[in-house]
Amino acid sequence: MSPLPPADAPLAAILDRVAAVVGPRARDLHRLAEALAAGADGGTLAAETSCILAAAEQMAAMVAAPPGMEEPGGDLDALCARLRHDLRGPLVAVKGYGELVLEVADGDGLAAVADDARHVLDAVSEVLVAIEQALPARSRALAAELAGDSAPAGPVGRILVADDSDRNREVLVQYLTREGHEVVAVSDGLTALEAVQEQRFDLALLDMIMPGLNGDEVLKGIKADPALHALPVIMISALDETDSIVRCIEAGAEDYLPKPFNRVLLRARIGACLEKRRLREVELSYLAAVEKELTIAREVQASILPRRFPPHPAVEGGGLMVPARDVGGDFYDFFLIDDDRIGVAVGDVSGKGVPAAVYMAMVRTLLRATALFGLSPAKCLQRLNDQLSADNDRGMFVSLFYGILDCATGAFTYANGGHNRPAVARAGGGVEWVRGTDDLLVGVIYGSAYHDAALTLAPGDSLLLYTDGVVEAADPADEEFGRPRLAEVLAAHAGAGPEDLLAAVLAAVRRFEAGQPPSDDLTCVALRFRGGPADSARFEMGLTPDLVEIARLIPALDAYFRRMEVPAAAAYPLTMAIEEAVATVVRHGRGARSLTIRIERTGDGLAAEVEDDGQPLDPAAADGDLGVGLQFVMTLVDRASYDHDGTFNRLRLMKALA
Amino acid sequence: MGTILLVEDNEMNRDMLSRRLERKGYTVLLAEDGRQGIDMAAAHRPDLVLMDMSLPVLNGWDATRSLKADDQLRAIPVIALTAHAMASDRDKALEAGCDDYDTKPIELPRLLEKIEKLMRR
Repeated sequence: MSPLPPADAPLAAILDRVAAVVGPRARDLHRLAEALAAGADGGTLAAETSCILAAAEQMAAMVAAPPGMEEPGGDLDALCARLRHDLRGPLVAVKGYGELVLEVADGDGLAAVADDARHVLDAVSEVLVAIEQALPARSRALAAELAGDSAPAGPVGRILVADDSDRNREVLVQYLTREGHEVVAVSDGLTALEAVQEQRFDLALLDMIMPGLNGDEVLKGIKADPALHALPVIMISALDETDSIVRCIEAGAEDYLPKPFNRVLLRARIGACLEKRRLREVELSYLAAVEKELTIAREVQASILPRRFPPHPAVEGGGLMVPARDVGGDFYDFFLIDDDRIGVAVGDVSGKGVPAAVYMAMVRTLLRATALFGLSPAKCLQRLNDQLSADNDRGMFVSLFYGILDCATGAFTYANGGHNRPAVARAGGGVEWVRGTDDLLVGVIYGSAYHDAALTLAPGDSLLLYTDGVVEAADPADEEFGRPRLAEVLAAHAGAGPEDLLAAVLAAVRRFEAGQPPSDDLTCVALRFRGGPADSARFEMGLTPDLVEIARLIPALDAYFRRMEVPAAAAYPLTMAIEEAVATVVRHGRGARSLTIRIERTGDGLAAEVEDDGQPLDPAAADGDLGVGLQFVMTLVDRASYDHDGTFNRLRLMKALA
Repeated sequence: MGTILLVEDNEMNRDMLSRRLERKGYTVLLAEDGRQGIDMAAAHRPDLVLMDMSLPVLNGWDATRSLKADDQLRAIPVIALTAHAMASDRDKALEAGCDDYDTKPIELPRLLEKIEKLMRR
């Protein structure tokens, strides 16, 4: 008799096994019952088929949440007996009505209904088998009933006995047959090998020394054949063959039986072997169930992704997600907050499979619900974090980047909860990493603070959000794709639209992986800011007070002047003037933290404004380098003025158009 | 053919089995618990009782013991039905005085065989 599972939580393990092994069969049954009920709807058998459906529903629900087994420390045998009883309950009605429906349908010539009923009845048999497979062997042995005679005490199987001694064969065959096994006996190695190749066995007993092929050689043949290597083998040996036994066990034999045979030992070893094989089969159906779960996770993941980017004249965008085999918890989202603001998010949930998919769906729903109030990204992440961490028994979390693009100005406000830094591909060709706000992963610690940061997209700039699956993709030598390679791809596709950019990133990653199976989902969102017709006459750009920002300012100004058809004679000096003004603020920034450039058309020319929030400036008192800088600016434009309104310094520059 | 008393608490199963037996030509009487089963058996003297074991009010074992303790009713054969499908259930049912035993879900041909055999007796 096989041992019971260990005393701690064996019932939970059995219930898990029931859900995994019986679950798929019960769902099949439910599906077939639905088909039967649909086919018989409105006909003479409608009442019976809806009873079948109701019972099949009950069956599926019961397997998903097995009936209350509350007696703590109850006798496991009794609990299993009750579980078997309860699980079989709904099948009584399904089978009874099913046979009734079949009988009537056959009699009335309702061929389609009869076929559906047959499928339901087949499924009932499969559920019954699955219930027995899922329950522990000991419980099955106790259940062996009906005939009442020669109930086998352990698992039974089909066994090959190979032994050249007539006497030994006879003893084994007689004994094993009486135990309920089906036995095939052969007297030499080659016949044994041929037998296992031609027929299905659950176990082979091989004598060590036989004419022709010896037992160890047959064993080698079995273990070398991929179709056979799972077949358990027990070697039969004399006591003086210890070394050979060790070699056989090393070569894959499950166990050995010493001669002369001891019945207790024989029964125990054969029982253990067959039970192991049965568990392997249960394991396989468990794996099949896990596979099904993965499909569900993939479906959840795919179903929550937005299908298309919100249409807006000033911006175009797109998303891409390629799930890995194990389905991680990546997601992306984009949505319109109001006429001019679009929210964009990318996240990566901890864990994999169904739990990650469910958590991800929850994060996405909470984010949307919060974001649509128009809260700043940091406030959204803060709320999300508090909601997720308050009730987080499973210890899950998400890395989440969320930003809001103002389509009128290109201003992009964002907060980053532990996610990879997105990249900006400037129209002029430069690639920048979006400064992190260095905030914590979302859902870990209640009350964590999140911070807003901002950048400005100029017309033609693209923004790329992505997950680990991109930068941590590995090549066959286990090197990571990394940010430098991503930057190269972005630089090479500076002018490309979002869909082309996404395709280029995916292609580059796949090329890099060179056939390595991806271990994580790959997710990207790309958007390209076009600038709308409404604000095409105005230019506004926010800069960090840093000289490197000039590299990004110049192409944006170029694009603006080209769009406005400003002649080079005016555009060139104005660009230089603005550049010099920015450099002046940076060098003599007086503590400025923000810097904004605005330009608009006036009646006779262009009015530019350089605004910063540093200490006020006294132009009259300006001297040295600062004075020279300002004087140079004056020479480039037609008029210049300066004021300070208590918060901002504003340098206004007028350039006439001839 | 004969009259069968079906004692079964589950409405769906009662309806299902009674209709199947009626289609085979039997007259079927119904009871929903062990107490009702005894009363119906006393009032109508069926040719056979099909007794579910897990019944409310009075369970199948006790109901069978009552029937078998009554001189007037002792001769009516009782077939126990249970979804437990355990060897020990059969022993328990036979101990209580049941004449035969079968498991649920029912194999109708096998059950009919048992019914006919007991009715001929």
